[in-house]
Amino acid sequence: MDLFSNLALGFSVAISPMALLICLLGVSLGMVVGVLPGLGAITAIAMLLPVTYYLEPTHALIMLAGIYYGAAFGGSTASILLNLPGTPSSAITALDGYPLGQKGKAGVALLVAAMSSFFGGTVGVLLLATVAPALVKVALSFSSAEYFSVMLLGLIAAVTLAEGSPIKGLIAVAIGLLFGLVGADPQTGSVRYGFGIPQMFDGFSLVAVVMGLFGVAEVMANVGNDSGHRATHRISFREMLPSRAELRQTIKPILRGSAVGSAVGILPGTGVVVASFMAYALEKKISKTPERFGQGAIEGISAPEAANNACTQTTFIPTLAIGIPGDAVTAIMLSALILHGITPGPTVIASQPDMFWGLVVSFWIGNLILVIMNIPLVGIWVKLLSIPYRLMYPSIILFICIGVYSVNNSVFDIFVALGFGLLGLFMRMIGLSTAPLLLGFVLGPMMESHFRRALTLARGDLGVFFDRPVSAVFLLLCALFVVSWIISARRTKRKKANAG
Amino acid sequence: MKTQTYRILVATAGLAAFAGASGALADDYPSRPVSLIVGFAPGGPADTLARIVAKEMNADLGQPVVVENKPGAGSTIAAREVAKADPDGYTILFVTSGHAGNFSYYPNLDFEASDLTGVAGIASTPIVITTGPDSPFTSLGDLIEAAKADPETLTYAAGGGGATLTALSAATFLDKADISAIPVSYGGSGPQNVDLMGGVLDFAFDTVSGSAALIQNDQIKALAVTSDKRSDVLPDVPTVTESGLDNFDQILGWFGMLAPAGTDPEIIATLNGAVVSALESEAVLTQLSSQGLEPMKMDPEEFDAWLVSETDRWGGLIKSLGLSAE
Repeated sequence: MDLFSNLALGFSVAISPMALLICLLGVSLGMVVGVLPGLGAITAIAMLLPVTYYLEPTHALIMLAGIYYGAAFGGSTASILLNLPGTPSSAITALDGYPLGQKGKAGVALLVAAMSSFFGGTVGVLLLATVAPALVKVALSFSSAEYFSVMLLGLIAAVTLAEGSPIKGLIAVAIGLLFGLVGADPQTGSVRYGFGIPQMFDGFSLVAVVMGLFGVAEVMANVGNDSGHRATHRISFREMLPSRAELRQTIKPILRGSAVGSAVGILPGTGVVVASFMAYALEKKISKTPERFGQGAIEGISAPEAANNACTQTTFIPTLAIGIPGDAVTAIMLSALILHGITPGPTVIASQPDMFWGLVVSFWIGNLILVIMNIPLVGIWVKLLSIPYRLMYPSIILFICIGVYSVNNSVFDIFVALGFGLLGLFMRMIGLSTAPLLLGFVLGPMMESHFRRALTLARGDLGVFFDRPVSAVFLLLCALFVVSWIISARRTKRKKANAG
Repeated sequence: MKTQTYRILVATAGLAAFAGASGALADDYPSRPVSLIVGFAPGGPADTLARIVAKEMNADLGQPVVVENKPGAGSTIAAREVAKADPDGYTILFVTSGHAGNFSYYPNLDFEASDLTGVAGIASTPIVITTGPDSPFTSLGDLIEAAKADPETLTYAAGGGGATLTALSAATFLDKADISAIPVSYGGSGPQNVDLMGGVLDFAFDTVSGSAALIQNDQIKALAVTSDKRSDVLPDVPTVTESGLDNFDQILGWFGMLAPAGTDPEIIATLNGAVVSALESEAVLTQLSSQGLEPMKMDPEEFDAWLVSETDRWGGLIKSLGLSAE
């Protein structure tokens, strides 16, 4: 086993002063754009891409990757404190993080988020270091039928994200699916619901939708409500520490979240949003007290945070090992590699060992820097809450506009965010959750492509979804989910009948 | 206080007038940074190439060439912006072969091909026909034979739906080889290569830059390239014509630069010179060859003529296939 000599090589690359400095720079910047609502890793990486031409390739990647996972790390902060997700993948963290903050436990929530992120990130790095080539084989054996079944499970799980009845969740998911239909038909290329507006030909921008539904809607819901800020005082380190019971509650969710996140990350094209949402849905489903979710359940923070950081790390497995980017951000990183004359592929590990192992070690060091940096920062973040809304909200809206605009350099997207803000506000007023809508919006187009592709490849035979064992297992899980709803719905009805 | 405000106002107005005037003069062009609008998201092959060339043009022009990404609607959003921009040489467009078909594929554009004029060709790359690593096909002939024996059974991918050059190449190839196969749609070269490797897809069309790395690593097999001569990065891969399809006219994917119609010919000449000298620099040549691209040095007139012939060829095919975005 030469893992240790490889890691030693990696350490020698990653702890050179220049590499450390670049890593620190990358993760700090990532955390800042992650915390700021609207601005995300895509924006920061696209802006810094030209700068990296002047760095050597390993350093360029260390910096870009640092921004990427730094943003996944920082995204939870705004979610917990302000109910405004810093990045799409942390939208789910707001569901329980914000209620915890309102109970005066923002410090605990932030620290648990940081610890879970660190643990998830570490698991992802370990997988990258040890079994990357084997995992690539698993990913390649997934065809469209499996992708579809996994995503269907994700969609059904999304329904459980909703508070209250599954029917409300279904409605929200369906609205999300409808918005996901906008844009070019994946098979024929003809535009659906484009209304002749070229900016709609490729569908709505994910960042604009998330920032509208969660960010703009939150601001609008609180306008004129200046009494809202909570009494804050200096938070001592002791107050940030979770109690022993809370700690015990988080361990298993962190493990499960890391597993879900790692698995999603390996599948190219699935994305971090799906990872964190699925981890949350899983926790809520298997919890003995699902009613605590949405009211400030600590598991509702640790599972998705572990998942999104594990996912950002394992996304590098397909990216580096087969040269197929896991998402938009890793696609940009891949082009940085190509610009530096390095062709990604399974030979990268053999032909550029210092780069590959340097990156792996640097990823872990970056995660460590993030957790160390975050502990003293928690106090400062919490202090942000003492800023009156009338000063905070205009700047939040400004950041959202900049962030949404900069993804496609498109003014139209700002209006999309505004539109989804109004929709989000309306849904709050009538008691519909927005989280299932988002998952429907993200998964809908992917599912459609995979469904149609699987059917074309199988010459139109629907049996393909049942014949392939992995796909069949996921479909069975979907069925179990639905059956469990029906049973629990009947039980509640009977209880009500008995009570009445 | 008032006089001071007045002075500042006058000074600003003077500066603005000066800036306006200098923008129109070809003599001191460029006197400020030039925006190169790219109709694709950062990170793709078009964006990567645009940035490589822009960086080298800086040196020649003495002003930065700034890449701005305006992705969407098959790059027509970016093209429209440049078509409607002032023809002062400070807003120029980076285009790919897809541009030639856009005017037929998007019937409701509010600008025309003639609103843009050629500046320079940049690079070209053939389309490569690929198959999985364990596929029984070892040559294009095998593939054609199998397709003829069992019509409508083989599956193939040619990027996303619509009128991409890969999709048009596939249509052309199937027509010339007189075979039929089942199209499967993929978002791009990444996902279709995954399915080639996984063995669920029979063959695929991709740009050389999208697949070269995987071909060199033997993760997928290349059967033929669509150009008249072999590609430098894939010297062992025969051309379609070499493989026995004599009636096949070569297909090249290409990249080029356009400016708003009415731009001063001297400004266009300056820009063309900067592109040509960039294409002669060692740094750019290494980058191009690593991605399977060949420099396409053309003067503005040659590039305009090339654009017209491409627009006719692909526009005609799109119409005869009945493809349309709306």
